[in-house]
Amino acid sequence: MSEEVLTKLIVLVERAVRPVRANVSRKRLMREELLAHVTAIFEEEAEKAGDEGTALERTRQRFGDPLELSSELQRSVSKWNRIEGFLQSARLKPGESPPHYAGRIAVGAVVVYLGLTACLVLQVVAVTGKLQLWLPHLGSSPVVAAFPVIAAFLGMLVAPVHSRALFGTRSERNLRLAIVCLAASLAFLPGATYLTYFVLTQIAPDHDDIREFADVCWFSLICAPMFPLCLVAGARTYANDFRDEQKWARLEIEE
Amino acid sequence: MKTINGDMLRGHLETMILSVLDRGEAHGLEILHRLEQAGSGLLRMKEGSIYPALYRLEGAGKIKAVWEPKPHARRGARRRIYSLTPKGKREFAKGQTEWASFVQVVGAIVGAPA
Repeated sequence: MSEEVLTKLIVLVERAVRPVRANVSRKRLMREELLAHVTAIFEEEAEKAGDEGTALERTRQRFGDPLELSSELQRSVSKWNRIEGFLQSARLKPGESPPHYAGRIAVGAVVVYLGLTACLVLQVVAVTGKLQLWLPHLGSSPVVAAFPVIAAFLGMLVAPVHSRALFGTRSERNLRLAIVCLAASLAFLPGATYLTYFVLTQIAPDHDDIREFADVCWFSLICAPMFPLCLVAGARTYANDFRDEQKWARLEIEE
Repeated sequence: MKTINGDMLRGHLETMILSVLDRGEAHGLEILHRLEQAGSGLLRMKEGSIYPALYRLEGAGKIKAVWEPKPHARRGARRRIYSLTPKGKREFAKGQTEWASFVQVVGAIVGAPA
């Protein structure tokens, strides 16, 4: 089988799989299995027809319309898998520049933060029944809501850099950068906690929440290694997923 | 005799796959070949559409799959080998009973008993 034919078969599979909303591993499974299938059909047809052009055309006919298959594949994806796919779409996309990625994640973090704050406001309004009463009851909650958002934002920024520095292509690998990322991530949890604590002491110095939050500050120091550990644990998967997505995303699939 | 296409198979494909796998494990293309063989060449379906059905069955725990250790072809990707789970076996037995009763009832109505 020539390289050109193999590429055409890969494109045929990608037309069916790319529009499917699913997590990376499910799409990888679909791609590999469907590619194995179309390769086998092509081999059968090439043996019968004797020329690659006819075999390729018959392969397309036997495989069916990729768009139709795409919607059938979508129906086979569970709701949770679809949600996981959506969450994974927040990761660095193949070909995306670091500033664009940082901007996209920042916008996402702000939206999540505003959403959390809105939920807290609605909860207080539901309990008190009055909109003007929301602020005293809400206390420092919006600031506290910012804490996980800041930590997640920092983690999402560092994760792609770290994973590629450890398990990327030969030119991407950089042990020193990986160590710097790990060292920086060690400060994420205490940093986000102490920043939140600082803001709380400035906006509501007499609020009860501050005393409670002071305990969390100590706890955040103990839990600080969690972030770098998570980065190391997820690095290989992250890098593999990214490389895989990059390989398929490069394909031009428009007819 | 007229061929049976994908639209007519809809709703029965999953039971037919269970039936094929009841005779032994197989990968996607092998399942299609067995279906065509059992249908005496009268079954015509777009081959890609077997995979969504396989994924649905797998998601429902009726079949399980393992990757073959090495790619099938020189340049090819790996295939997955499907087999029935105990739940799939029970579902297949249930499907057979339901099909027998369906054929009996509809056959009697349209005047062509099984």
